[in-house]
Amino acid sequence: MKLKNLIICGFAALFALAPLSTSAHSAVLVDNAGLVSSSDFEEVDDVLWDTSVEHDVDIWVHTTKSLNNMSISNYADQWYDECAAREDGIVLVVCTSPRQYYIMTSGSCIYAFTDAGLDYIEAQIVPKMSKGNYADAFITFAELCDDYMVQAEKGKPYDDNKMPKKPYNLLLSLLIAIGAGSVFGGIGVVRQFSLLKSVHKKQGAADYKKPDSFQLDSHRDIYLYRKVERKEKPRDDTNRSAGGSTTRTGSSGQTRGGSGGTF
Amino acid sequence: MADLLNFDCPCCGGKLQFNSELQNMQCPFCDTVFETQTLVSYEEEVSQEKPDEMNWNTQAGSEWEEGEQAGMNSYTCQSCGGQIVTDSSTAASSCPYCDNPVIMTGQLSGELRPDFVIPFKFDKEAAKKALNDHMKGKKFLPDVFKDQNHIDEIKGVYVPIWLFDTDVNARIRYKAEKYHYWEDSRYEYKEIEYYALIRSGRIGFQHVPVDGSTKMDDTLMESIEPYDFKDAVSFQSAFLSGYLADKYDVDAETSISRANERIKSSTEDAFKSTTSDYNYVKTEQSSIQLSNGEAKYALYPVWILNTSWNDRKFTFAMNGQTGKFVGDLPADKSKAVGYFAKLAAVAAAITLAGTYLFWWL
Ligand SMILES: [Zn+2]
Ligand SMILES: [Zn+2]
Repeated sequence: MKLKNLIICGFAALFALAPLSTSAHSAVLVDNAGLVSSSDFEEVDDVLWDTSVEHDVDIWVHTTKSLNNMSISNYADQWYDECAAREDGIVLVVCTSPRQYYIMTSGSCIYAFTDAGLDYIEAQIVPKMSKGNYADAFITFAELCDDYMVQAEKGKPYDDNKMPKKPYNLLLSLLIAIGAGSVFGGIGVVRQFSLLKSVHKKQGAADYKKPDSFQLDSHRDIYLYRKVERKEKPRDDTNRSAGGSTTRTGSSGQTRGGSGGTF
Repeated sequence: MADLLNFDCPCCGGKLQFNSELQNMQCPFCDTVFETQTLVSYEEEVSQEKPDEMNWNTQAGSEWEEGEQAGMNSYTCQSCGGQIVTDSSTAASSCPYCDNPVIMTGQLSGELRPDFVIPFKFDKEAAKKALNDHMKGKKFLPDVFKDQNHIDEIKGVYVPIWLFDTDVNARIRYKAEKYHYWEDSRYEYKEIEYYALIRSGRIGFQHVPVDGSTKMDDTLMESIEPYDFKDAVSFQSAFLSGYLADKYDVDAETSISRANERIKSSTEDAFKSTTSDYNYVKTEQSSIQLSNGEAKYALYPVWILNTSWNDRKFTFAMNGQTGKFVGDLPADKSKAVGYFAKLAAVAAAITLAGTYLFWWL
């Protein structure tokens, strides 16, 4: 297996360094687990390749049936060390047994893909992978990588304070608008109804008090008893990180970033 | 000791028992513990409480002078039975309370003569203007209420009023609570201290009005209060010219209970103003003694208009002295629905545009 990878990587590296061309290039989608149908393979591979070339970073998707008894992050590190053409890059490793995935970032991509940014990518692609729509998931991954790199090149990588735009949710917005409309209309109607009521019984005779007639002759305050009520305080655990990327030292000593999980 | 066993719990009313461990009285029902001395003071105060004594001299009104009644005509409403009076130069044709025709039943006789009258300060034109203002900005009002011909039917009526003057001696017990708050790392605490407050003293009221006519709605009459008695003058039949006067059909004796209610409520409020050190104060018991209580008979000026809508009667009233205008109005449901739809649509459109803008930014 490792040998096979090496051969594929070798070819890939060779082509990556060769004159750039979108029509003839080696695969950057390494589908050892056979998750993408042959009819979709070329499209996914092209999108990944084009994005990679556009931003001068390695963008890979690697699928495998097993991790060879390694943790998925170690597997990703090792594979990247062996195969990547550039120090700057990102690879999505998808394993089918166990069903795990890992996105590893290296070099400048560590900063382009912050923890919050990776969370967002995972939220977009994991549901698709869970449903078995791998080609769709990988194209989304490539498109997001493109978006993230553009953002990073502007010096403002996506992070806690600024995340990619979700598509405008018309249905939800309509529901909110109808809700707000009803509340507003309701308040207006209640207000108008209240304007119609002006007849009220008088509570007392305060308007007819004789001026200066009030006189307090005696007063006494007797303390009777006391009670203490206590209420447990709500615990606040707001230990959120302040954005940025978490890094670790990869298996061969380089700094790596990344995030993963099951699908 | 035997005596102590008869204390009632000031907290829940249960019979207290002596707890030998705590060496204090404890309530077996709510577990509250009391100092014996506290209970002695409390019982001492409670035992002094007396029932209300609210006696009045209701010799109100006076006899008519000779020949005075001759200049006044009495009319009776064929529909509601209301009796109205006016001077002979003023012709009454319809009832101010129900708009049905009235017929003259002869000269006034045998009734009490009012002690005072507050003359009209606002004329018919002012009343009509106030009515139009009252209807302004009320979007659900049915159109029939804005009919100017109908508005022209507004009538000036002197309403019979019993006025009550009295000095009050009061002794009031309040239940009061004082709160303290603090906290430690795990809990927030609230300590409630309970007190019995006793206040006694004096206060006086003058010219507390009670509506003496069953035809004039009591709540409507109270809604246009207050009237300021400084404009009141001794009754002269000349004031009736151009206006109608209603005759009382509720006597002073019967009106006392409403006057007492209002006087008691305001007395409790006045003494409550001396308990501002506490977070919560509630009247527990009050005993009120009236002295020099006397009633007078007066006529108060009111502009009245009746409007029928969907078989219901709606009455507007304006204080003829101060111009205060009241009258509950009905809502035209189709107008309310249209207004809601219009407002909701505008608000929804703005919200939708807002959500899009928020997304786009
Ligand atoms: Zn108790
Ligand atoms: Zn009538």
